[in-house]
Amino acid sequence: MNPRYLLTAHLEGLTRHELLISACAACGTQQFPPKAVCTRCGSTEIPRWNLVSGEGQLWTYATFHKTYLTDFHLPSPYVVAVIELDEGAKIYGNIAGPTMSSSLRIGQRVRAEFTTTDDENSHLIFVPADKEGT
Amino acid sequence: MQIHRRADRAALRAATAVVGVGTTEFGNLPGSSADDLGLTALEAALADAGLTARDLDGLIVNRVSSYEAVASRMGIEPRWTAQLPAEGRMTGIAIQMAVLAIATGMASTIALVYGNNGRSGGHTYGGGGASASAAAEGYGTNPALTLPYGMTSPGAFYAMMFQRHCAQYGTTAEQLAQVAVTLRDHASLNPHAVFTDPISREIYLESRFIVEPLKIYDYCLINDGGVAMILTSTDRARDCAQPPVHVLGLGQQGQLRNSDFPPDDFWREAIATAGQQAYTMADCARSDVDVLMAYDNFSPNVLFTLEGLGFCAPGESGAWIQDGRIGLRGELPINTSGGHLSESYMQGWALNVEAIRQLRRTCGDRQVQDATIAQYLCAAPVVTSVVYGAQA
Repeated sequence: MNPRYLLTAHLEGLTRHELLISACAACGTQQFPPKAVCTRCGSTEIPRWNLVSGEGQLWTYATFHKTYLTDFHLPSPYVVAVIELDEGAKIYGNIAGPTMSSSLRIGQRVRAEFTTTDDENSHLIFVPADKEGT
Repeated sequence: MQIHRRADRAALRAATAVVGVGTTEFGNLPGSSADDLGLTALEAALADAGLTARDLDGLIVNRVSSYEAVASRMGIEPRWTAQLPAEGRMTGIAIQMAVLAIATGMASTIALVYGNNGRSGGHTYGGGGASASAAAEGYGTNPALTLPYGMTSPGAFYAMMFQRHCAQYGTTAEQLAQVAVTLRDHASLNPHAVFTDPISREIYLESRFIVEPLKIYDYCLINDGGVAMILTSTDRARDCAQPPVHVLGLGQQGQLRNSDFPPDDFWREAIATAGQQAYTMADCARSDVDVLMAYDNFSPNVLFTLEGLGFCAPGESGAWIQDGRIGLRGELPINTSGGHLSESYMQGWALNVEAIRQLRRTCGDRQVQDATIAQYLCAAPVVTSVVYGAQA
Protein backbone atom coordinates (compact mmCIF):
# COMPACT_ATOMS: atom_id res chain seq x y z
CA MET A 1 0.00 0.00 0.00
CA ASN A 2 1.11 3.55 -0.58
CA PRO A 3 3.09 4.56 2.54
CA ARG A 4 1.11 7.81 2.75
CA TYR A 5 -1.91 5.82 3.93
CA LEU A 6 -0.23 3.27 6.19
CA LEU A 7 -1.20 3.15 9.85
CA THR A 8 1.52 0.68 10.79
CA ALA A 9 3.59 3.17 12.78
CA HIS A 10 0.55 4.21 14.83
CA LEU A 11 -0.58 0.64 15.51
CA GLU A 12 2.93 -0.54 16.42
CA GLY A 13 3.29 2.48 18.70
CA LEU A 14 0.19 1.39 20.62
CA THR A 15 1.80 -1.98 21.40
CA ARG A 16 4.72 -0.06 22.96
CA HIS A 17 2.18 2.13 24.78
CA GLU A 18 3.18 5.15 22.73
CA LEU A 19 0.82 7.44 20.85
CA LEU A 20 2.17 8.30 17.41
CA ILE A 21 0.27 10.80 15.28
CA SER A 22 0.93 11.66 11.66
CA ALA A 23 1.97 15.15 10.61
CA CYS A 24 2.68 16.85 7.31
CA ALA A 25 6.39 16.52 6.57
CA ALA A 26 6.43 19.97 4.98
CA CYS A 27 4.39 22.27 7.24
CA GLY A 28 4.14 20.14 10.38
CA THR A 29 0.33 20.23 10.65
CA GLN A 30 -0.91 17.22 12.59
CA GLN A 31 -3.50 15.35 10.59
CA PHE A 32 -4.65 11.93 11.55
CA PRO A 33 -5.20 9.48 9.95
CA PRO A 34 -2.39 10.31 7.49
CA LYS A 35 -3.41 11.96 4.23
CA ALA A 36 -1.86 11.66 0.79
CA VAL A 37 -2.09 15.43 0.45
CA CYS A 38 -1.78 17.86 3.34
CA THR A 39 -5.14 19.57 3.80
CA ARG A 40 -3.32 22.76 4.86
CA CYS A 41 -0.35 23.23 2.51
CA GLY A 42 -0.97 20.66 -0.21
CA SER A 43 2.32 18.85 0.27
CA THR A 44 2.47 15.30 -1.05
CA GLU A 45 5.49 14.26 1.00
CA ILE A 46 5.13 11.09 3.04
CA PRO A 47 3.80 12.20 6.44
CA ARG A 48 6.12 11.90 9.44
CA TRP A 49 5.15 10.37 12.76
CA ASN A 50 5.34 12.38 15.99
CA LEU A 51 5.21 11.02 19.52
CA VAL A 52 2.52 13.08 21.27
CA SER A 53 1.61 13.60 24.92
CA GLY A 54 -1.78 11.86 24.73
CA GLU A 55 -3.34 14.79 26.52
CA GLY A 56 -6.32 16.56 25.12
CA GLN A 57 -9.99 17.32 25.56
CA LEU A 58 -13.19 15.37 25.12
CA TRP A 59 -14.53 16.66 21.78
CA THR A 60 -17.64 14.48 21.66
CA TYR A 61 -18.77 11.03 22.72
CA ALA A 62 -21.57 8.47 22.51
CA THR A 63 -22.57 5.63 24.78
CA PHE A 64 -23.25 2.32 23.08
CA HIS A 65 -26.09 0.47 24.80
CA LYS A 66 -25.91 -2.14 22.08
CA THR A 67 -22.83 -4.08 20.98
CA TYR A 68 -22.72 -4.60 17.24
CA LEU A 69 -19.55 -6.71 17.23
CA THR A 70 -19.87 -10.27 18.54
CA ASP A 71 -16.32 -10.43 19.88
CA PHE A 72 -15.90 -6.89 21.23
CA HIS A 73 -13.79 -6.68 24.39
CA LEU A 74 -15.87 -4.13 26.31
CA PRO A 75 -19.26 -4.89 27.85
CA SER A 76 -22.08 -2.50 26.99
CA PRO A 77 -22.78 0.19 27.82
CA TYR A 78 -19.42 1.51 26.71
CA VAL A 79 -18.33 4.99 25.64
CA VAL A 80 -16.67 5.85 22.34
CA ALA A 81 -15.17 9.31 22.28
CA VAL A 82 -13.53 11.67 19.83
CA ILE A 83 -10.59 13.29 21.56
CA GLU A 84 -9.00 16.49 20.32
CA LEU A 85 -5.34 16.10 21.23
CA ASP A 86 -3.43 19.14 22.44
CA GLU A 87 -1.25 18.87 19.33
CA GLY A 88 -4.34 19.43 17.15
CA ALA A 89 -5.36 16.08 15.67
CA LYS A 90 -8.53 14.18 16.55
CA ILE A 91 -8.64 10.48 17.37
CA TYR A 92 -11.23 7.84 18.38
CA GLY A 93 -10.86 6.00 21.69
CA ASN A 94 -12.81 4.58 24.62
CA ILE A 95 -13.30 6.24 27.99
CA ALA A 96 -12.08 4.37 31.05
CA GLY A 97 -14.00 3.40 34.10
CA PRO A 98 -17.68 3.01 34.91
CA THR A 99 -19.54 4.26 31.89
CA MET A 100 -21.58 6.90 33.63
CA SER A 101 -22.06 9.07 30.60
CA SER A 102 -23.70 11.71 32.78
CA SER A 103 -20.35 12.25 34.49
CA LEU A 104 -18.70 13.22 31.21
CA ARG A 105 -18.58 16.74 29.90
CA ILE A 106 -17.54 17.88 26.44
CA GLY A 107 -14.41 19.97 26.77
CA GLN A 108 -13.09 18.18 29.85
CA ARG A 109 -9.41 17.25 30.03
CA VAL A 110 -8.42 13.66 29.33
CA ARG A 111 -5.17 11.78 28.86
CA ALA A 112 -4.38 8.58 26.99
CA GLU A 113 -3.67 5.27 28.63
CA PHE A 114 -3.19 1.95 26.93
CA THR A 115 -4.80 -1.44 27.39
CA THR A 116 -3.84 -4.75 25.88
CA THR A 117 -6.70 -7.15 25.22
CA ASP A 118 -6.65 -10.97 25.27
CA ASP A 119 -5.90 -11.03 21.56
CA GLU A 120 -2.74 -9.03 22.36
CA ASN A 121 -3.96 -5.94 20.55
CA SER A 122 -3.32 -2.62 22.24
CA HIS A 123 -5.97 0.06 22.42
CA LEU A 124 -6.26 3.65 23.52
CA ILE A 125 -8.33 4.34 26.57
CA PHE A 126 -8.79 7.90 27.74
CA VAL A 127 -8.95 8.75 31.42
CA PRO A 128 -10.57 11.94 32.69
CA ALA A 129 -7.68 14.05 33.92
CA ASP A 130 -9.49 14.96 37.16
CA LYS A 131 -9.40 11.28 38.19
CA GLU A 132 -5.68 11.55 38.72
CA GLY A 133 -6.31 13.65 41.79
CA THR A 134 -4.29 16.49 40.36
CA MET B 1 -15.34 24.65 -21.67
CA GLN B 2 -16.87 25.77 -18.44
CA ILE B 3 -20.08 23.86 -18.02
CA HIS B 4 -21.18 24.94 -14.56
CA ARG B 5 -22.07 28.54 -15.25
CA ARG B 6 -25.23 29.72 -13.61
CA ALA B 7 -26.81 30.39 -17.01
CA ASP B 8 -26.41 26.75 -17.98
CA ARG B 9 -28.02 25.59 -14.80
CA ALA B 10 -30.88 28.02 -15.25
CA ALA B 11 -31.54 26.39 -18.62
CA LEU B 12 -32.09 23.11 -16.77
CA ARG B 13 -34.90 24.63 -14.73
CA ALA B 14 -38.12 22.77 -15.56
CA ALA B 15 -36.41 21.03 -18.50
CA THR B 16 -37.48 17.71 -17.01
CA ALA B 17 -40.44 16.41 -15.09
CA VAL B 18 -41.40 13.46 -12.95
CA VAL B 19 -44.24 11.71 -14.74
CA GLY B 20 -44.51 8.44 -12.85
CA VAL B 21 -43.98 7.24 -9.30
CA GLY B 22 -44.50 3.81 -7.83
CA THR B 23 -44.09 2.22 -4.43
CA THR B 24 -44.64 -1.28 -3.10
CA GLU B 25 -46.07 -2.29 0.20
CA PHE B 26 -43.59 -1.46 3.01
CA GLY B 27 -42.76 -3.81 5.88
CA ASN B 28 -41.46 -7.32 6.36
CA LEU B 29 -41.87 -8.98 2.97
CA PRO B 30 -40.03 -12.30 3.03
CA GLY B 31 -39.78 -14.10 -0.27
CA SER B 32 -39.26 -10.92 -2.31
CA SER B 33 -35.77 -10.02 -3.43
CA ALA B 34 -34.64 -6.42 -3.81
CA ASP B 35 -35.07 -6.90 -7.57
CA ASP B 36 -38.64 -8.21 -7.14
CA LEU B 37 -39.50 -5.16 -5.06
CA GLY B 38 -37.84 -2.71 -7.42
CA LEU B 39 -39.61 -4.21 -10.43
CA THR B 40 -42.99 -4.19 -8.70
CA ALA B 41 -42.47 -0.49 -8.00
CA LEU B 42 -41.40 0.12 -11.60
CA GLU B 43 -44.55 -1.54 -12.92
CA ALA B 44 -46.58 0.74 -10.67
CA ALA B 45 -44.65 3.81 -11.84
CA LEU B 46 -45.14 2.92 -15.50
CA ALA B 47 -48.87 2.42 -14.96
CA ASP B 48 -48.98 5.74 -13.10
CA ALA B 49 -47.34 7.51 -16.05
CA GLY B 50 -49.40 5.69 -18.69
CA LEU B 51 -46.18 4.33 -20.22
CA THR B 52 -44.75 0.88 -20.94
CA ALA B 53 -41.22 -0.44 -20.53
CA ARG B 54 -40.75 0.09 -24.28
CA ASP B 55 -41.06 3.84 -23.74
CA LEU B 56 -37.97 3.82 -21.53
CA ASP B 57 -34.55 4.46 -22.99
CA GLY B 58 -32.71 5.20 -19.76
CA LEU B 59 -32.27 3.28 -16.52
CA ILE B 60 -30.66 4.09 -13.17
CA VAL B 61 -30.75 1.44 -10.47
CA ASN B 62 -29.91 1.55 -6.77
CA ARG B 63 -29.66 -1.27 -4.21
CA VAL B 64 -31.16 -3.85 -6.60
CA SER B 65 -28.77 -6.60 -7.75
CA SER B 66 -27.86 -5.05 -11.09
CA TYR B 67 -28.96 -2.88 -14.00
CA GLU B 68 -28.61 -5.98 -16.17
CA ALA B 69 -31.17 -7.92 -14.16
CA VAL B 70 -33.68 -5.05 -14.09
CA ALA B 71 -33.29 -4.29 -17.80
CA SER B 72 -33.47 -7.94 -18.77
CA ARG B 73 -36.50 -8.77 -16.67
CA MET B 74 -38.43 -5.68 -17.80
CA GLY B 75 -37.36 -5.80 -21.43
CA ILE B 76 -35.76 -2.36 -21.25
CA GLU B 77 -33.16 -1.55 -23.92
CA PRO B 78 -31.42 1.49 -22.46
CA ARG B 79 -29.47 4.01 -24.49
CA TRP B 80 -28.05 5.16 -21.17
CA THR B 81 -27.75 3.35 -17.84
CA ALA B 82 -26.07 3.60 -14.44
CA GLN B 83 -25.95 1.83 -11.10
CA LEU B 84 -25.14 3.67 -7.89
CA PRO B 85 -23.92 2.34 -4.52
CA ALA B 86 -26.61 1.38 -1.99
CA GLU B 87 -26.20 4.54 0.09
CA GLY B 88 -28.92 7.08 0.72
CA ARG B 89 -26.50 9.81 -0.25
CA MET B 90 -26.76 8.54 -3.83
CA THR B 91 -30.52 9.08 -4.23
CA GLY B 92 -30.31 12.79 -4.94
CA ILE B 93 -27.31 12.13 -7.16
CA ALA B 94 -29.30 9.56 -9.16
CA ILE B 95 -32.11 12.06 -9.75
CA GLN B 96 -29.60 14.73 -10.74
CA MET B 97 -27.92 12.33 -13.18
CA ALA B 98 -31.28 11.56 -14.77
CA VAL B 99 -32.04 15.25 -15.24
CA LEU B 100 -28.63 15.85 -16.80
CA ALA B 101 -28.94 12.85 -19.11
CA ILE B 102 -32.34 13.99 -20.36
CA ALA B 103 -31.25 17.61 -20.72
CA THR B 104 -28.23 16.63 -22.78
CA GLY B 105 -30.13 14.19 -24.98
CA MET B 106 -28.36 11.08 -23.70
CA ALA B 107 -31.79 9.61 -22.98
CA SER B 108 -35.35 10.83 -23.20
CA THR B 109 -37.31 8.85 -20.62
CA ILE B 110 -35.51 7.35 -17.65
CA ALA B 111 -36.66 4.90 -15.00
CA LEU B 112 -35.04 5.08 -11.57
CA VAL B 113 -35.47 1.80 -9.72
CA TYR B 114 -34.76 1.03 -6.06
CA GLY B 115 -35.37 -2.18 -4.14
CA ASN B 116 -34.48 -2.99 -0.54
CA ASN B 117 -35.03 -6.29 1.29
CA GLY B 118 -33.08 -5.16 4.36
CA ARG B 119 -35.72 -6.36 6.82
CA SER B 120 -36.26 -9.91 5.57
CA GLY B 121 -32.58 -10.05 4.62
CA GLY B 122 -31.55 -9.31 8.22
CA HIS B 123 -29.46 -6.18 7.51
CA THR B 124 -28.35 -4.51 10.74
CA TYR B 125 -26.16 -1.51 9.77
CA GLY B 126 -23.28 -1.78 12.14
CA GLY B 127 -20.51 -4.13 13.06
CA GLY B 128 -19.27 -5.54 9.82
CA GLY B 129 -18.97 -2.43 7.73
CA ALA B 130 -20.70 -3.97 4.71
CA SER B 131 -21.31 -1.70 1.76
CA ALA B 132 -24.92 -1.14 2.78
CA SER B 133 -23.69 0.29 6.08
CA ALA B 134 -20.79 2.33 4.81
CA ALA B 135 -21.06 4.85 7.63
CA ALA B 136 -20.44 2.12 10.16
CA GLU B 137 -17.01 3.36 11.10
CA GLY B 138 -17.12 7.00 10.13
CA TYR B 139 -17.62 7.97 6.54
CA GLY B 140 -14.15 8.26 5.11
CA THR B 141 -11.91 6.72 7.70
CA ASN B 142 -9.85 3.60 8.13
CA PRO B 143 -11.67 0.83 10.09
CA ALA B 144 -8.41 0.15 11.98
CA LEU B 145 -9.06 3.42 13.84
CA THR B 146 -12.67 2.72 14.76
CA LEU B 147 -13.38 -1.02 15.00
CA PRO B 148 -11.00 -1.62 17.96
CA TYR B 149 -13.02 0.95 19.92
CA GLY B 150 -16.43 -0.45 19.02
CA MET B 151 -17.29 2.61 16.91
CA THR B 152 -19.41 0.46 14.70
CA SER B 153 -22.74 1.95 13.77
CA PRO B 154 -23.95 4.79 11.55
CA GLY B 155 -26.25 5.97 14.34
CA ALA B 156 -23.26 6.52 16.61
CA PHE B 157 -21.88 9.11 14.20
CA TYR B 158 -25.12 11.10 14.56
CA ALA B 159 -25.24 10.45 18.31
CA MET B 160 -21.82 12.09 18.56
CA MET B 161 -22.97 15.03 16.46
CA PHE B 162 -26.09 15.51 18.56
CA GLN B 163 -24.11 15.21 21.81
CA ARG B 164 -21.91 18.08 20.62
CA HIS B 165 -24.94 20.09 19.47
CA CYS B 166 -26.40 19.74 22.98
CA ALA B 167 -23.15 20.88 24.61
CA GLN B 168 -22.63 23.77 22.22
CA TYR B 169 -26.17 25.12 22.04
CA GLY B 170 -28.10 23.62 24.93
CA THR B 171 -30.31 21.47 22.68
CA THR B 172 -32.26 18.91 24.73
CA ALA B 173 -33.78 15.45 24.37
CA GLU B 174 -37.18 17.03 25.02
CA GLN B 175 -36.64 19.25 21.98
CA LEU B 176 -35.37 16.45 19.76
CA ALA B 177 -38.41 14.35 20.68
CA GLN B 178 -40.47 16.69 18.51
CA VAL B 179 -38.98 15.19 15.34
CA ALA B 180 -39.99 11.60 16.12
CA VAL B 181 -43.38 12.60 17.57
CA THR B 182 -44.28 14.82 14.59
CA LEU B 183 -43.19 12.30 11.98
CA ARG B 184 -45.20 9.57 13.70
CA ASP B 185 -48.23 11.87 13.62
CA HIS B 186 -47.72 12.24 9.89
CA ALA B 187 -47.35 8.48 9.45
CA SER B 188 -50.62 7.92 11.31
CA LEU B 189 -52.33 9.60 8.34
CA ASN B 190 -50.43 7.53 5.77
CA PRO B 191 -51.93 4.13 4.96
CA HIS B 192 -48.61 2.97 3.49
CA ALA B 193 -46.58 3.69 6.66
CA VAL B 194 -45.03 0.84 8.64
CA PHE B 195 -45.62 2.50 12.03
CA THR B 196 -48.87 4.39 12.50
CA ASP B 197 -49.51 4.37 16.27
CA PRO B 198 -48.91 7.89 17.60
CA ILE B 199 -46.18 8.35 20.19
CA SER B 200 -46.13 11.05 22.85
CA ARG B 201 -43.15 12.99 24.08
CA GLU B 202 -43.36 10.96 27.31
CA ILE B 203 -43.20 7.67 25.43
CA TYR B 204 -40.21 8.98 23.51
CA LEU B 205 -38.39 10.12 26.65
CA GLU B 206 -39.00 6.81 28.42
CA SER B 207 -37.83 4.70 25.48
CA ARG B 208 -34.50 2.93 25.48
CA PHE B 209 -31.22 4.27 24.23
CA ILE B 210 -29.49 2.58 21.32
CA VAL B 211 -26.40 4.74 21.15
CA GLU B 212 -26.95 7.45 23.74
CA PRO B 213 -28.04 10.23 23.44
CA LEU B 214 -30.16 8.71 20.64
CA LYS B 215 -33.19 6.59 21.45
CA ILE B 216 -34.93 3.89 19.48
CA TYR B 217 -37.39 6.44 18.03
CA ASP B 218 -34.51 8.54 16.68
CA TYR B 219 -33.50 5.69 14.37
CA CYS B 220 -34.83 4.94 10.92
CA LEU B 221 -36.73 1.73 10.31
CA ILE B 222 -35.25 -1.29 8.63
CA ASN B 223 -37.95 -2.60 6.29
CA ASP B 224 -38.48 -4.09 2.86
CA GLY B 225 -39.89 -2.21 -0.11
CA GLY B 226 -39.33 -0.81 -3.55
CA VAL B 227 -39.64 2.63 -5.15
CA ALA B 228 -39.49 3.78 -8.75
CA MET B 229 -39.65 7.14 -10.47
CA ILE B 230 -39.90 8.02 -14.15
CA LEU B 231 -38.43 11.24 -15.48
CA THR B 232 -38.76 12.64 -18.96
CA SER B 233 -38.44 15.96 -20.78
CA THR B 234 -41.09 18.54 -20.08
CA ASP B 235 -42.20 18.32 -23.72
CA ARG B 236 -42.84 14.59 -23.50
CA ALA B 237 -44.35 14.93 -20.06
CA ARG B 238 -47.42 16.60 -21.54
CA ASP B 239 -48.42 13.31 -23.17
CA CYS B 240 -48.30 11.31 -19.94
CA ALA B 241 -51.24 10.29 -17.79
CA GLN B 242 -50.44 12.42 -14.75
CA PRO B 243 -49.90 16.14 -14.43
CA PRO B 244 -46.12 16.56 -14.56
CA VAL B 245 -44.16 17.65 -11.53
CA HIS B 246 -41.23 19.74 -12.71
CA VAL B 247 -37.66 19.46 -11.54
CA LEU B 248 -36.85 23.10 -10.88
CA GLY B 249 -33.58 23.06 -9.00
CA LEU B 250 -30.60 20.84 -8.23
CA GLY B 251 -27.77 21.25 -5.77
CA GLN B 252 -24.90 19.19 -4.50
CA GLN B 253 -21.89 19.79 -2.27
CA GLY B 254 -19.42 17.37 -0.73
CA GLN B 255 -17.77 17.81 2.66
CA LEU B 256 -15.55 14.75 2.51
CA ARG B 257 -12.25 16.28 3.59
CA ASN B 258 -11.63 15.11 7.16
CA SER B 259 -14.86 13.10 7.15
CA ASP B 260 -13.07 10.60 9.40
CA PHE B 261 -14.73 12.43 12.28
CA PRO B 262 -18.11 14.08 12.84
CA PRO B 263 -18.13 17.50 11.14
CA ASP B 264 -17.59 20.42 13.50
CA ASP B 265 -20.17 22.52 11.63
CA PHE B 266 -22.84 19.79 11.38
CA TRP B 267 -22.38 19.99 7.56
CA ARG B 268 -23.90 23.47 7.73
CA GLU B 269 -21.70 24.94 5.02
CA ALA B 270 -22.26 22.10 2.55
CA ILE B 271 -26.03 22.10 3.20
CA ALA B 272 -26.16 25.86 2.66
CA THR B 273 -24.23 25.58 -0.61
CA ALA B 274 -26.29 22.71 -2.00
CA GLY B 275 -29.53 24.36 -0.89
CA GLN B 276 -28.63 27.72 -2.40
CA GLN B 277 -27.63 26.11 -5.68
CA ALA B 278 -31.03 24.46 -5.85
CA TYR B 279 -32.92 27.65 -4.94
CA THR B 280 -30.95 29.73 -7.44
CA MET B 281 -31.59 27.29 -10.27
CA ALA B 282 -35.25 27.02 -9.29
CA ASP B 283 -35.52 30.81 -9.11
CA CYS B 284 -37.13 30.55 -5.71
CA ALA B 285 -36.23 31.24 -2.09
CA ARG B 286 -36.25 29.17 1.06
CA SER B 287 -39.47 30.91 2.07
CA ASP B 288 -41.20 29.55 -1.06
CA VAL B 289 -40.81 25.94 0.08
CA ASP B 290 -44.23 24.54 1.00
CA VAL B 291 -43.03 21.14 2.15
CA LEU B 292 -39.55 19.88 3.01
CA MET B 293 -38.34 16.30 2.70
CA ALA B 294 -35.32 16.11 5.01
CA TYR B 295 -33.25 12.93 5.04
CA ASP B 296 -34.09 11.50 8.46
CA ASN B 297 -31.85 8.47 8.80
CA PHE B 298 -31.48 9.69 12.38
CA SER B 299 -33.67 12.42 13.81
CA PRO B 300 -30.89 14.97 14.57
CA ASN B 301 -30.26 15.17 10.83
CA VAL B 302 -33.52 17.12 10.53
CA LEU B 303 -32.08 19.74 12.91
CA PHE B 304 -28.83 19.97 10.96
CA THR B 305 -30.80 20.34 7.70
CA LEU B 306 -32.88 23.24 9.04
CA GLU B 307 -29.81 25.11 10.31
CA GLY B 308 -27.85 24.49 7.12
CA LEU B 309 -30.67 25.74 4.91
CA GLY B 310 -31.05 28.79 7.14
CA PHE B 311 -34.63 28.23 8.29
CA CYS B 312 -33.22 29.05 11.72
CA ALA B 313 -29.89 30.29 13.07
CA PRO B 314 -27.13 27.84 14.01
CA GLY B 315 -28.03 26.14 17.27
CA GLU B 316 -31.67 27.24 17.27
CA SER B 317 -33.25 24.26 15.52
CA GLY B 318 -34.23 22.53 18.77
CA ALA B 319 -36.44 25.44 19.75
CA TRP B 320 -37.53 26.20 16.17
CA ILE B 321 -39.23 22.85 15.53
CA GLN B 322 -41.59 23.15 18.51
CA ASP B 323 -45.26 24.18 18.61
CA GLY B 324 -46.35 22.48 15.41
CA ARG B 325 -44.00 24.37 13.14
CA ILE B 326 -42.93 21.22 11.23
CA GLY B 327 -46.38 19.62 11.36
CA LEU B 328 -48.85 19.37 8.49
CA ARG B 329 -50.42 22.74 9.28
CA GLY B 330 -47.20 24.35 10.37
CA GLU B 331 -44.97 26.91 8.77
CA LEU B 332 -42.78 24.19 7.24
CA PRO B 333 -44.28 20.69 7.10
CA ILE B 334 -41.45 18.15 7.10
CA ASN B 335 -41.55 14.52 5.92
CA THR B 336 -45.31 14.41 5.55
CA SER B 337 -45.26 10.66 4.89
CA GLY B 338 -43.65 9.91 8.25
CA GLY B 339 -40.22 9.69 6.67
CA HIS B 340 -37.59 7.12 7.43
CA LEU B 341 -38.47 7.19 11.11
CA SER B 342 -42.05 6.00 10.67
CA GLU B 343 -43.12 5.43 7.06
CA SER B 344 -40.36 3.41 5.44
CA TYR B 345 -36.58 3.36 5.13
CA MET B 346 -36.23 3.65 1.38
CA GLN B 347 -33.04 5.73 1.65
CA GLY B 348 -34.50 8.96 0.32
CA TRP B 349 -36.46 7.47 -2.58
CA ALA B 350 -39.82 7.40 -0.80
CA LEU B 351 -39.24 10.97 0.39
CA ASN B 352 -38.88 12.07 -3.23
CA VAL B 353 -42.05 10.20 -4.15
CA GLU B 354 -43.85 11.90 -1.27
CA ALA B 355 -42.70 15.27 -2.62
CA ILE B 356 -44.27 14.38 -5.99
CA ARG B 357 -47.51 13.18 -4.40
CA GLN B 358 -47.76 16.36 -2.32
CA LEU B 359 -47.40 18.49 -5.45
CA ARG B 360 -49.99 16.35 -7.24
CA ARG B 361 -52.14 16.91 -4.15
CA THR B 362 -53.01 13.26 -3.83
CA CYS B 363 -51.89 12.79 -0.22
CA GLY B 364 -55.37 12.58 1.29
CA ASP B 365 -55.48 13.26 5.02
CA ARG B 366 -51.83 14.30 5.11
CA GLN B 367 -52.05 16.68 2.15
CA VAL B 368 -50.43 20.06 2.70
CA GLN B 369 -52.85 22.63 1.40
CA ASP B 370 -51.84 24.39 -1.82
CA ALA B 371 -48.43 22.69 -1.91
CA THR B 372 -46.64 24.11 -4.94
CA ILE B 373 -42.92 23.85 -4.16
CA ALA B 374 -41.33 20.82 -2.47
CA GLN B 375 -37.68 20.41 -1.55
CA TYR B 376 -35.68 17.24 -0.90
CA LEU B 377 -32.41 17.57 0.99
CA CYS B 378 -30.08 14.86 2.19
CA ALA B 379 -27.58 16.05 4.81
CA ALA B 380 -24.47 13.87 4.73
CA PRO B 381 -20.83 14.18 3.73
CA VAL B 382 -22.25 14.56 0.24
CA VAL B 383 -25.24 16.88 0.45
CA THR B 384 -27.82 16.77 -2.33
CA SER B 385 -30.98 18.74 -2.89
CA VAL B 386 -33.78 18.70 -5.45
CA VAL B 387 -36.50 21.35 -5.70
CA TYR B 388 -39.75 20.26 -7.37
CA GLY B 389 -42.56 22.47 -8.61
CA ALA B 390 -46.20 21.81 -9.47
CA GLN B 391 -45.82 24.49 -12.14
CA ALA B 392 -42.97 24.98 -14.58
